[in-house]
Parts: sequence; structure tokens; C-alpha cells
Amino acid sequence: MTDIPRDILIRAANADMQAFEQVYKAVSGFVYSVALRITNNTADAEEVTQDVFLKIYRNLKNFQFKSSFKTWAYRITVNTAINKYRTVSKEKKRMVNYDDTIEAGNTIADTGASFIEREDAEKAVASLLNALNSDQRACIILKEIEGLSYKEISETLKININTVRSRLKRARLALLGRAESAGVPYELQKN
Amino acid sequence: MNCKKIRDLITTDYIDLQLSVALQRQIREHLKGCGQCRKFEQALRQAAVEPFKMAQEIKPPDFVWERIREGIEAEEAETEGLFLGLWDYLRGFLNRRRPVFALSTALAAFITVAVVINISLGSRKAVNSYFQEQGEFLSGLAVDTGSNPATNQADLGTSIEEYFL
Repeated sequence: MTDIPRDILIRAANADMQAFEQVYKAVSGFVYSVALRITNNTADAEEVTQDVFLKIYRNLKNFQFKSSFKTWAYRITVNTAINKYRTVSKEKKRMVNYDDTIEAGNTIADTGASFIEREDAEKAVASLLNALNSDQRACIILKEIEGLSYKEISETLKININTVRSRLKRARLALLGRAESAGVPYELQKN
Repeated sequence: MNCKKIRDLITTDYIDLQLSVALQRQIREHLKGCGQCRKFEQALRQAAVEPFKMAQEIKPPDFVWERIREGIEAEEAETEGLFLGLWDYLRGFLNRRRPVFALSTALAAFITVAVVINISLGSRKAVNSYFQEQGEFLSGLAVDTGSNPATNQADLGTSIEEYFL
């Protein structure tokens, strides 16, 4: 996520729509990606993205610059997405894998990899994240995909740094166990 | 450090480069000599770390921004409408209630005047009665002293008063 100049944020906080559009362009990619990976559903991710930006717009005037805008935006995104995911799970709505993401017209940032490679990679990521609960999923997304440090994750999720460690550990062991049961040879808990 | 502790650290801090340089080196040395832990580390990276490196940032469809912009405009219009509605209501309220206000003002004025008049009349009565009483008292004194000194002397009452007189 690119840093947004403070004056742009101040202008956006004062209801300058052009400035707010700049904020949107800078952060919408990670907001939507995180939302999609947590909810695992394009319609829910679009709704979460919309909610997140409306929350940012409403509350930007109260943002004190005590924490970084990045941490603040991550927190709103993760909380909104987890709430959405839990609500949807409770309502037992039909979940649609985000395998359809690319077909639905969403664009993946171009990194030189072929379309099929990227599509396969996204499918693999979706499949791995599906094996985790929402708290573990949020930690893995912030660490592995967004590249946040333990400290940044703890600030974003407002949890103890040891809780971050513990969630990452459980998530990774779950993924390792899953790979093992799928035929990847490894004797997990020996010695 | 035993293998269990080493694997605990590999699962989080070692893989994420959160350890001190000394501890990181210590684990690397252990991995060189321990095949099981080395296998664990490789399997963990393969199953839980490497796949996420291929993950890309996915941009939202264009209509999401349009929806957000419309949402903001709708909220602002609603807020503006709320203020306008409140102002219209207040204006209508004031217009509707004007005769009532006029009537209540007239009534208040009437009550005020009545109270003031009542107070002034009341106080004049009190003054009049005071003067009347004082007049009667003084005239009574004049009558007593002039007409009958004997009666007056008898009326003095005590023996001490008689002595001084």
C-alpha cells in the first residue's frame, strides 16, 4: 500500500471528492483484496469495500494521525470483512469461491506472470485460506500477502503480539497438516 | 535447545525473520545437523509460506467506486434534507402558532397590568388606613388633654409617674 500524502487526507476529510478519489485509488486494491480473501465471495467483497470507504469518508475528519493511515485502513477493512464473513456464515448463505473473480471482470495487477499462472496461484491461495478460521486467515493475509510486521498486525487487529504469533503458528501448522493429508510427505509431530 | 523448541521458533519467528541474529544463526546451525527439523522447515515453507508469494493485489470493479460516490452523495443529500426538513418544520410551526403566541402575549400583558394595578391599589389602601389610624390617635390625644385633667391624671397609672408629675 502506497503512503498517501497528509494534505490529500486532510482535503478528503474536508469532503473534497477529488482528494477522496485519490485515497480510493491508492488503497482500494488492498481493501478489495483483503476483503475478497477473508469473505471468499466477490459480492461480499464489493459490499465490504463500499462499506469500508463510506466508513473512511465519515470518520476521516476524526482521524488524529496518531496511528498511520495504513494501519487504520487495514483495521477497518479486516474488521468489516470478518464481520461480514461471520454474518454470512451464520446465515448459511451459499458461498461462491472467488475462482470466479477473474471471470467477473476483476483485474489482477500485472506482474509479468501468465494469466493461467496467476489464476492458478489465486485458486491455490483461496483454497489455502479456506482451510483457516477467520482470525487465522486475517493474520496470514496481513503477514504473507500484505507483508505487515508482527507489531503492525497486533496494532491492526488490536491483539497482543503473542496472540499474533500463536495465530500464525496454528494457521501454518493447519496448512502443513492439510498438505500432509493431501499427500505431501512429512512426519509432522515426530521428535 | 531441543527439536520441539526449534520447530516452534521455525513456525513463526525464524520464518518471519523476527529473531535476533544470534538465535537465527543458532537455528541455522541446528538445521544443518538435524534432518527431521530441516525437513519440517522445508515442508512448512512449501505448504504455508511459498503459495502466498504468488498472490496478487486484486482491484475492485469500476462500479464499486461509482456506488461509493453515489452512497456519499446520498448521505450528504439526506443530511442536507434533514436540516432543510427541520427548518421547514420549525418555520411551519412558528407560522401555525402565531395566533396562539399573540393570544398568549396579550394574556400575559393583561395579567401583568392587572397585577401591577392590584399592587398599587393595595398599597394605597394600606397607606390610607395608616394615616387614618394615626389621625384618629392624635385627635384622641388632643381631646383627652384639653377636656379633663383629673381624668388625665388618674389615667397616668403608677405611683412613680404621680411622683414625678
